[in-house]
Amino acid sequence: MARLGFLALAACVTFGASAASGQCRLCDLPSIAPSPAAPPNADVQLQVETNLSFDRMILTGPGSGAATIRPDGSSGTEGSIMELGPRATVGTVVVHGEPNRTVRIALPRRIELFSVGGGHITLDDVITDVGAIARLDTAGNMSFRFGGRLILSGDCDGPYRGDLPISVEYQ
Amino acid sequence: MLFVNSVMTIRAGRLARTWTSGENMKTHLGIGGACLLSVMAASPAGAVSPATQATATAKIYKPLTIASVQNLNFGTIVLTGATFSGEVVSISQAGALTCGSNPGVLLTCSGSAQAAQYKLVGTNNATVTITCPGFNLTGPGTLAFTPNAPATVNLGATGATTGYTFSIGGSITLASTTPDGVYTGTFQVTADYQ
Repeated sequence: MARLGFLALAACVTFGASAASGQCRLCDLPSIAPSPAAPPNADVQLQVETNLSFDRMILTGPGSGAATIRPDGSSGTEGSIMELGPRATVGTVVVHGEPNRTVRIALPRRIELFSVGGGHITLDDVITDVGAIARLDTAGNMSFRFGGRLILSGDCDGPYRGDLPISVEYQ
Repeated sequence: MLFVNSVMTIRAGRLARTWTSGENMKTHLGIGGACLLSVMAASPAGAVSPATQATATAKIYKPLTIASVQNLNFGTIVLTGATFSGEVVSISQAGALTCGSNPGVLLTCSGSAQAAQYKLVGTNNATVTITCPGFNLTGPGTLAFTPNAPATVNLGATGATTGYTFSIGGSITLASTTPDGVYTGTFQVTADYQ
C-alpha cells in the first residue's frame, strides 16, 4: 500500500507536468507556435505604480479615529483625526498577461503598519476598484486601484509603514 | 487518466471517515491523492504572478501649537549722519544687531536689541515648515520689514513636552529722511508639519 501511495504521487507529478508545458522540448519542431505578442499561459506580471499613502494626519486628541482612502481617490476622516494630508495617494497596480484572460487578484484585507519605535496601527477594509476577479484587455493589460481604512487609537503619533503583498493569477 | 481517477476515488473515501494511528499505509495513499488534487486544480489556472509588495504609509502628528515667547526689538536707532540713504539695520536669528554700513557715523544703535522667538509644541522629531512674510512697520512713517526666519525646524526629541523654540530676525532700511518716532508691526508666522 505504501508503494501504491508513492506511485500515485509520481503519477500526479507527471500528469501535472505534461499539462503545464505547452510544447515538446525534445521534438525538432515546436508542436505549438507561440505568438510573440501574447503567448498562451504567459506569466502574469504586475507592477505597483503608486503606493498607498495617507500622507499626514493631524490628531485632535488621544481618542480613536480612522482615515479612509477609497479606490476612486476620495477620502475621509472620523474620530480624533483632524485632516488628511494633501499628498495622500491611492494605490495603483498595473497587470500584464495574456489578452482577454480573467485573473484573480489577491491582496490582504488587513495589514499592520509599524513605526520605528515599535508601535503599530491597522489598515483594514483593503479593497480594489475591480473586485477579486477582473479581465485583461485585448492587449493583455489591466490596472486597478486599491485603498483602505487606517484605524488609530491612543497616543500613536509618528511615521508608519506596512507591506501589502499583492498577487495575480489566471482564473 | 483512469488510474488517476481511481486514486481520487480512494482519497475521497479516506476523507469520509476518521483516521487512526494504525492506518499509516492508507494515510500515505491519502497524501498521494491530495497531491494529485492540488496539481490538477493548479494546472488549468496557468501562471501566478510572484507576490509584489506595495507599501502603505502614514505620518501621524499631534496638533501643532505655536506661541510667542518674545518680540523682536531693534532698540533705539539714532540717525546720526547728515545725508544718507539705504542704510540697513538688521537682527540675525541669533539676535546679533548690525547697525548700518558705518555704525556710529551714519547710525547709532543702542538699547537691548533682540530677535523674535516662538515656541512650537508637537510631535517629537517632526519637521515643521515656517513661513513669515514681510510686512510694514508703521509709526510716523512706514518702514518695510524683511523677516529672516528659518525655512524649517525639527522639533527634536522633546518636541511634544518642552517644545522647540526658534527665532526670527529681520531688517529695515533707513535714510536720513526717515521720520523719527516709534514704529511697530505684527508678525504673521505660520508653522505646519512638512
